[in-house]
Amino acid sequence: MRKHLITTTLASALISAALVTPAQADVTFVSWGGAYTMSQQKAYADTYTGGKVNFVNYNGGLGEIRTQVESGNVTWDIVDVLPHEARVGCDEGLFEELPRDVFTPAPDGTSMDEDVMVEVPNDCVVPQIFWSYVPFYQKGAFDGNAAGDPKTIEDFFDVEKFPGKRGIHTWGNALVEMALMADGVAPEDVYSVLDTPEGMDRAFAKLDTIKDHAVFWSSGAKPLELVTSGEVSMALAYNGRVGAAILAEDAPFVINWDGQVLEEEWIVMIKGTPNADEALKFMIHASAPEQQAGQAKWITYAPMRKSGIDIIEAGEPWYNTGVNIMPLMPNAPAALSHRYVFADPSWWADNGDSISERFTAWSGQ
Amino acid sequence: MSTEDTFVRFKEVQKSYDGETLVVKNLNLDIERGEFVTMLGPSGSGKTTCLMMLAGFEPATHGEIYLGDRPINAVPPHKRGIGMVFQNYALFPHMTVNENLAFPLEVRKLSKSEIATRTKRALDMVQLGAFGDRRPAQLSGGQQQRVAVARALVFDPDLVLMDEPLGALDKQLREQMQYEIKHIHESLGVTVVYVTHDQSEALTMSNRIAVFDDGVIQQLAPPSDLYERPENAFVAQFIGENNRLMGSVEAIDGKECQVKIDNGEVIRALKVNVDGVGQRATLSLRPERVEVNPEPGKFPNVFDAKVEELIYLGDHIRTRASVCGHDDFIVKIPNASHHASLNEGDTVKFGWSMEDCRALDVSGIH
Amino acid sequence: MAANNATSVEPLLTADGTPLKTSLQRSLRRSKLRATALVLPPLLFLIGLFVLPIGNLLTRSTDDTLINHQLPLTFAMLGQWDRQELPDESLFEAIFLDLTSLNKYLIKDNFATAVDPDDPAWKIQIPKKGPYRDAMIEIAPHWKDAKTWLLIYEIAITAAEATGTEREIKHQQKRAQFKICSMLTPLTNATCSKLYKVLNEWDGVSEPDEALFEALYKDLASANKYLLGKSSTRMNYEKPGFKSLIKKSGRKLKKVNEPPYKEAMIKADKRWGDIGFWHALLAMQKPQTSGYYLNAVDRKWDENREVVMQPEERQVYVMLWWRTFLVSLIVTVGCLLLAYPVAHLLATLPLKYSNLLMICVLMPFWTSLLVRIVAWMIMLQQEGVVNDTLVMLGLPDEHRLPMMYNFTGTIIVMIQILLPFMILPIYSVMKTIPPSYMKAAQNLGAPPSLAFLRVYMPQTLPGIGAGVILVFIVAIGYYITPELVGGKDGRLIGNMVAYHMQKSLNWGLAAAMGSILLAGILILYWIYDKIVGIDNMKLG
Repeated sequence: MRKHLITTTLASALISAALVTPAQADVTFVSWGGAYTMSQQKAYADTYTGGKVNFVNYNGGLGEIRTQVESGNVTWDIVDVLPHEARVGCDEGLFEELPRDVFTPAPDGTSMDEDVMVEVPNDCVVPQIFWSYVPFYQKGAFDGNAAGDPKTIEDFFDVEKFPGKRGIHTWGNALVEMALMADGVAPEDVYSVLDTPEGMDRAFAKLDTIKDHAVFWSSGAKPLELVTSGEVSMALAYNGRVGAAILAEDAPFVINWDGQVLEEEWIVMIKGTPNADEALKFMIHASAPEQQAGQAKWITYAPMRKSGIDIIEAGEPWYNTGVNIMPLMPNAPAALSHRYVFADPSWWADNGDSISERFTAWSGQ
Repeated sequence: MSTEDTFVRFKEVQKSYDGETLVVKNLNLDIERGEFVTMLGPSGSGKTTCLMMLAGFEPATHGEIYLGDRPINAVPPHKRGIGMVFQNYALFPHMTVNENLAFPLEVRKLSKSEIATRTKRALDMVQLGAFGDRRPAQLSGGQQQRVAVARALVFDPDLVLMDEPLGALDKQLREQMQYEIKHIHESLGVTVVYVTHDQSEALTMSNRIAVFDDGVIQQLAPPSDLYERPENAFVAQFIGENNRLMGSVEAIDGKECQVKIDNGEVIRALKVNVDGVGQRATLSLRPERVEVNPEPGKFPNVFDAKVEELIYLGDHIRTRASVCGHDDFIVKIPNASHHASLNEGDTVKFGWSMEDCRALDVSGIH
Repeated sequence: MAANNATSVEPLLTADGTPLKTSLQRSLRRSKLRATALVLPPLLFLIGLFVLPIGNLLTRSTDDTLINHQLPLTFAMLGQWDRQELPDESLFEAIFLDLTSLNKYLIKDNFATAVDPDDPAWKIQIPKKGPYRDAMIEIAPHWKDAKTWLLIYEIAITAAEATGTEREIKHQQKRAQFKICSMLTPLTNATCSKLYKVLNEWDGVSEPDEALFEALYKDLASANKYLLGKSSTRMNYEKPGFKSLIKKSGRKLKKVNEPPYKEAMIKADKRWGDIGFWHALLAMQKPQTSGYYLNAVDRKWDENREVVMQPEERQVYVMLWWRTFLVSLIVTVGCLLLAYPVAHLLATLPLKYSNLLMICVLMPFWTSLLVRIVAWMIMLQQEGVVNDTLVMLGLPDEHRLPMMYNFTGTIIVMIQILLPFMILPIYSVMKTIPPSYMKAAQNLGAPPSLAFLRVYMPQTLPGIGAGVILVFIVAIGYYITPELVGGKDGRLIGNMVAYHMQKSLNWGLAAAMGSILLAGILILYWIYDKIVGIDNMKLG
């Protein structure tokens, strides 16, 4: 009995020791799971010859990362983060700051940071993709409608001319920007208008117009089901989800690029990881234009680097099934010919919490 | 045999649970007012089912049960006004003793003061006056038993049913409670139907005992009759101890018959329950009615016996011997100076009278 | 006296002459030791996974020390401000120094002592490009002494001598860099890599030279940056916009070298001229704050340190508390109503049927939560099975019942998920109630309904109590299910805790809400104990 006890204690001690220093230097890549992780696996890990990459799923946020870093028990190496987390985590010292000159420049010699379509916020982040919130509907949903099919972001907010319910998410991001654009604010003025209390009220007043027609969703697959089942006539969704349904299942969805709000997605390295060297090597590989473009073979999220987009355009039909992918890329020239906003993470860093509260209060009334 | 005073009456009652076998087969039983009747029998004999039908918890499959002259088949249990003591007392654990006793009075909407008086009277009757505020779990088994009896009587029912109420008590307490219940019955004059499988309990308390087996009343008689004059082999076997000798009837002569047992010896016995000459019969003989080395000519039945085993039991010596080809023949020899002392291996003579040896049927033997 | 006789008796001895008591103790010691050894692991487990986290939760919910370390001068001088008008130059100077120069707390290493704004050491600006040594010694003379450095020196050389594989050594060295920083700063996530390197080149005895001070300055400066990042997050809770204000100021104020600072700061960002930001600072002035708790009930400090309501459009938590309470209550009552008859059936049916029923009850436990939720969506949504059936039965198509993505959906799905938690304890109690009680009650004259109410139900109370407490406690913390099926009504207090834990990183507010939940549950427990008695609860 006692002997058994001792062996158990020993075993658990060994296990915890093993947790502190992993035996082999595999890189652990933490991402969102599903088709997205699969695309990263195919585009980055499968083309990587420098070692093994393990994928782990998480639900976003910095909570787990903060716990790992502060406890000194770091088991993740690279994490795929949203724009807000990319900034806060770097500011608070949760991510490693990376040398910038080691990353692969564009074929024309432009440095990586210059090649990214938005300003690189700090030295912690390495470009991943753009994704966007877009309105979409099912072909035929508006047959016989006097005003025809919806085309613009105004139409999304107009339940008179375009009847039916609207599927929207349960948080405020992108909704306030879209509301202002639908209310006639020029995309480049959206954040300066939102910075004033009147502008904020104006956005929520516009949201009021669809509140009674809103069906709220919180998981990315939901809006597709809502539109397919006819429960709503139009919904906002992540563009990649809609694109995947169109490409993989021939779903008869129509995306309206007008009014889309594009969000950044970065990868970062957790501070204090014992695999820093291996992780950096892999990040250099994953951020190179070839790999950036390669991801779009598997999912309709767009490379952040201009040179990546160029590779795709030149290589069409680019998607793995042999169809054109550019019509589904949120930052393709065609999509960007409509109104759009690049979500401003520093504005959201200031106002995210208050919008979250206000949005909850608004939707709860 | 129904009389003016019949209080409970089972008329051609049958009960089946599964529609294939009868648990109670054509039961007819009349119980007089103020009587203490015990239903005695092995488990599965149908006695508890009868009690449950009387209490109203099981419907009779066929036949009718009367209480007084009222048929009660359609009366739900709570309207029958019958008191009952359950096997494990079924005292409500979340109520105090007083609340338990008050329960039947409260549902009858008696006044508060009336309830208090009656509760106290009932508790005093079972000598538990000081325990009214306790919960059942704080009482000993015997005390719980008394509370259960008090509760069954507190609303003055004319009929009280008791379902093996003493089964959970130890032997000494059980005997004490037997007397107490008997005295309560005598002093209140209430009619009691009592179910047990313990024959000494039945013999101690009852006016009459109904011996159940296989869904049928084998014999209904006062205790002494049951022991002295069993009417069939089952009753003889079930009540007290008896030696059984199997054989076939050779001749019948009035109330006497001669039975040739299987080793060829012929025994003269009292004809009680035999079908006729040539038929099989069981001879039943109580161990205390056998005499060792009787004076010649005193008994018509005298046989050689070889003493196999002696067991000293204080007041008597239990002797096992081989007689007439049976080596499990038991004789009780009183431990008195004038009785011969035997040794194992001795060969002696056993003798008994014709009246003590009852010729019975063979069917009741399992 | 008679009483003395008893005590003056000789102590009892065993056969070999040792006192009986000693002998008994000796024989019991082994079994006591074994009992302790058996209890120890679960006890440690309990402390590690229950007591410590709850303690941490309570501490976090009131802790505001970090921000006080970040703005020492500002907070020391804030008390002198009249709060009516924009602060004068002296306060601007204080915050300028706090934001732009290396935090003096980090050098002075006197987290406990109060800041004296008149002490010139607090205003010394260390030149960005050095020399560092003299300025730092002037601020905190103890750095001059080699002994001050010994503690971190030990850490550095121990790690440098680490053995093992190359990876292990590297890992040890990295941890040492974290450890040095956590000795010098309140941060556990800063790395003192420069100090590590220089300390290893030092002999540990000679007077600390410029190289050591340069490394110290640079490592502290990088930690200071993280402190500032964290502080600005904290400040942003009080006033949206603070985060970008601090960040922007940090960049722009680099060029400002001399007073007047007030003008320069307002020029750098006009928000410094907004008195609201200054008022917001007041709320963070004390190292222990009840601000998170106030925030959790839609209140806050105003500039006069009086509790006021949050602006109307931000009032959300009180509504969520009520909604959470209401949902839990309805779910608990619903579960009770559904579970009671099922549990009764389970307890009274013949074994072969009750086993089958038990499997049905337990089935949800074997199915993934998400699968069950999706099944409910298919059933209840507007184009779902239930509505289709109703339409087929004659319900007009435009009057399809909204049963999903709203309050109704939340309630239905939560009841289904939590039902077993109610059934099982009630069942386990009912199972022990012999049917003879009901018979006895009827026999005593009570009609079945009364017998049930007065005799059967009171005996099932322990099970009801356990089930109700269990379901209520689980329901009150639920958030994933409500969010998936509740649409806009699916946001409960648990969602906000998760949001602040994972997304906004406002752990203080999350901890405050968690503590309120905990307190609420303890109060319920206490009420239950008063009414029913805790020994009357039977969990199975």
